[in-house]
Amino acid sequence: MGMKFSVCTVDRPLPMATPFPLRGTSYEECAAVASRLGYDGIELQVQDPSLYDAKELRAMLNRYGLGCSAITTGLAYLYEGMSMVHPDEKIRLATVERLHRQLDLAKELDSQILIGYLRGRKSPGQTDQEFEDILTDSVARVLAYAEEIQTPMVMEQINRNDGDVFCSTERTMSFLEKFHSDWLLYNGDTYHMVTEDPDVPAAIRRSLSKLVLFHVSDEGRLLPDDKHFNFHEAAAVLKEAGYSEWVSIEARPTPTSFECTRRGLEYLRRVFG
Amino acid sequence: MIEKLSFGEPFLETHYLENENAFTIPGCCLLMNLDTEKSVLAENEFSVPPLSAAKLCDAQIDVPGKALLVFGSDTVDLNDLLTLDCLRSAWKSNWELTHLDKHRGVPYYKSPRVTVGGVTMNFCLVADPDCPSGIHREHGKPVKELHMQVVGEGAVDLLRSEHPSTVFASLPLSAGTVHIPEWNAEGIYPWHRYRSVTRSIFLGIEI
Repeated sequence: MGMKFSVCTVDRPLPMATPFPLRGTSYEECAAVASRLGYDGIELQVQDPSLYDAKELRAMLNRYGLGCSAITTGLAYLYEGMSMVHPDEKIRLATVERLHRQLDLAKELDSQILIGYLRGRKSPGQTDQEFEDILTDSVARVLAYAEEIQTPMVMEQINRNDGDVFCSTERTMSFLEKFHSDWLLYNGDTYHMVTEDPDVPAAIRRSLSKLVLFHVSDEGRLLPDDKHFNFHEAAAVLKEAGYSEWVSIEARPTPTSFECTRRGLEYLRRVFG
Repeated sequence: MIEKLSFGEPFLETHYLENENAFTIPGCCLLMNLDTEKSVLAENEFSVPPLSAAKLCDAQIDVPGKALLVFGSDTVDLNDLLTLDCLRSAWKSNWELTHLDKHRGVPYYKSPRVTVGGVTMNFCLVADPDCPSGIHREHGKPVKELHMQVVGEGAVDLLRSEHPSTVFASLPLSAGTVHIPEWNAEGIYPWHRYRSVTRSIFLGIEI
């Protein structure tokens, strides 16, 4: 079985700089385009799951023959200031609660939640260990619910410009492994790897035991152009390992949302297929 | 010939012996006779039959076939949560190795595999007591499968069908024992499973 191809979608207007190629006024609109182009699934940006009817979403995706590669959670960080490491415990607990509801939605869609930005940033003067301790507590609370409802929770590596401490594949994997849970998994991302992982094939091999989502994104969050990053080498490692989970296009919607989405799939089929 | 193997490191030290005479075991270890025909002789007195195991201390052994020595099983305390965490960090869960849904959340953690002298082996930690493996009778390829208990207590159950209520025999295992072969003359197995009684480590052996 080969890899499953997906595209990051969003159902509301966001700045062009955000790396979500396929945009619409509803997820049905996005699904119609993705399905017609031939994607296997779409990745949803969901700030507040209470605004969605999970069963309707599920039925809609079924109609278009699409899976959901992940429910991505970062909009709650960007637009509400939620964070898993917020100094205010009330906000931390509200973030955990929000993630529980994200897990409920993901379960209905037979999918998984993805945590990137929502894990939050270090506070001024905070040590790496203090940051890790607080994040560990929040992750454990979310993970307990993920295990209870048997729905995967996926965490992303984020490079030093956009995140703290868990920037490289090795550091992120080591953090995830200390929870000893098959429900806590890993999202590799070429955009972050290019800054943080000097040996990309080795980093991908290191992550294979927990890798369930692989974001394809070039420098500047653009579509791959084969000038900056060796996507062929990355694809070869995944193929050699028999990787059969999701590979998603995460890029700015240039020159247009449709063109970016179309060219993204073309590239995935050519290099990862 | 003696070869030190690394697949149990840093928790268990293993040595593979083949056609080795008058070898004196330094201290205590578990011996698994991997040969299907030849016995291992200890102190010229006691014979460990083919596909059998024993705990030996400071004994001189003759290995006309092949055998594995496992050192350190006495020092692994699976009720010590730090030790348990270290093992679970170093060895991969079944799901991490296969990504099969049926393996998700199953507390079986496997060491790297090694193949030597035509025998493939790995250690498996079962991190919870009273936790059975999947019930199976096929192994993907024709192999002779054995489980040697290394730490804790376990058992291999034989069943009439895939249903867990159909157990008709249990082969108890304590550290330093291996069950009798389950396969018949045609190499066919009954439905079977490994089951931990306490938290345990066993050595999976495929010949």
